[in-house]
Amino acid sequence: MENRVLPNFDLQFDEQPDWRRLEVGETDLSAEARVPLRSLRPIPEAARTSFAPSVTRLPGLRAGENDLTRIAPGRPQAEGVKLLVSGSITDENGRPLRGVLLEVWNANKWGRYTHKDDPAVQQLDPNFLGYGRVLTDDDGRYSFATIRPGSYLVRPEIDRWRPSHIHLSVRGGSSRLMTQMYFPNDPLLDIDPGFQLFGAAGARQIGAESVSRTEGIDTDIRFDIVIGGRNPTIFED
Amino acid sequence: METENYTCEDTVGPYYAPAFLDDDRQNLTNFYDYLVRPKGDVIIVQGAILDRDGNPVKPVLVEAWQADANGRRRTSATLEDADLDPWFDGYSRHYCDDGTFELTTIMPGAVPPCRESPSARAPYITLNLYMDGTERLATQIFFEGRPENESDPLLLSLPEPLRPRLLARRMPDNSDGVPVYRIDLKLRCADETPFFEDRFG
Repeated sequence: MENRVLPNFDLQFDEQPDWRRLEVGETDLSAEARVPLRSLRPIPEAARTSFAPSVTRLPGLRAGENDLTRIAPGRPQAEGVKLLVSGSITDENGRPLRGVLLEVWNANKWGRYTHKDDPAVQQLDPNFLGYGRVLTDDDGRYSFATIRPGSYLVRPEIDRWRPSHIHLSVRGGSSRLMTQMYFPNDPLLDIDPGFQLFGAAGARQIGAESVSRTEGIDTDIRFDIVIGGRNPTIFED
Repeated sequence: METENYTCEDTVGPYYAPAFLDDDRQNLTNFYDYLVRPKGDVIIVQGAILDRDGNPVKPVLVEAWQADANGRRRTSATLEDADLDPWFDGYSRHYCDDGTFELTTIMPGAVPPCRESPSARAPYITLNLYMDGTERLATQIFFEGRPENESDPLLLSLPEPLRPRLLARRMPDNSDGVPVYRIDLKLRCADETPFFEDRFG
């Protein structure tokens, strides 16, 4: 996996072996051009809080923003397997994070985003936008409905596909997390360079599926989010 | 390591929605278009985000936060502080799809020792960058020529040759007479920008 060559001039600096260096997944072309060469530097205690975000104002949401299966309430549902994804957002000690914003985006049934920069040739679904938002409730819980996203070919020249995944962004107070949820038993996980970098921790990134009893939904997915590691909550204590 | 239970960070990918930015502002001096204005001197901070080959990285979601002109930062713990500027939010995010960023803000004050910052700090802006291919990158930028830089604990934590890479340089004022500061953020190259480990545990 070590595919970096540190230029000699770097040796004059003070990089320590226990500092974390961001890794580049194999054949990840974007990462190969962007991931910093040097390890992340420690933050002195005196500057720590300045690195924690503080979001004291979040947008007001409209009704139905957490139902990605429709482009608006009352409109027809998009094609594909309807998912109801729900769970809690807590800190590392299990304390619920109330009123934080979860932003959600995923590709449609055929693996295409509605984003202007998606070069995929798969069809668009006129009933699917693929972007939604929800705020956690007083117990730190959230839920949103969406379509199970298709896999898509990201590197045609080497036939590499991305596993199905849902993008998630959490923001509010000093909580901040950018992540992706994956699906159980997806063989493409074994060849996804980003997912492979998680190692054993990758198990935390996979939602738990069950048959849904909710009308208009096929599959329930439980996905609990824990904000911690480099994403602590520090101003709310 | 066995007790770690947190959700892992993952790349934002290339398809974040600009629509999610809602009313998050690229101009922190303009409080919802009301006539009230924050205290302090308006400045523009701009720069490019460049990859290994010197090409602009796009798109990049840039989140930035800073103290007000008095050096006070708005957090859930300081909301009721009398010396917090009520007209300055101090939190910005914008979606840069041409590889450059530009923030209109006020010159942050030097930070006195306080609950949120136990040591004095030079004026700074914290930047978080989200782009395809990597997890969040965190750094802080400072202003060239400020005497407080000489004693800032974060700048002093860097080997001396790396410190200039976090200094925004003063450029000619723009056509409205607003001071412009510029800093390029460079990735995976010989004069790479220092980034920081914001894991707190």
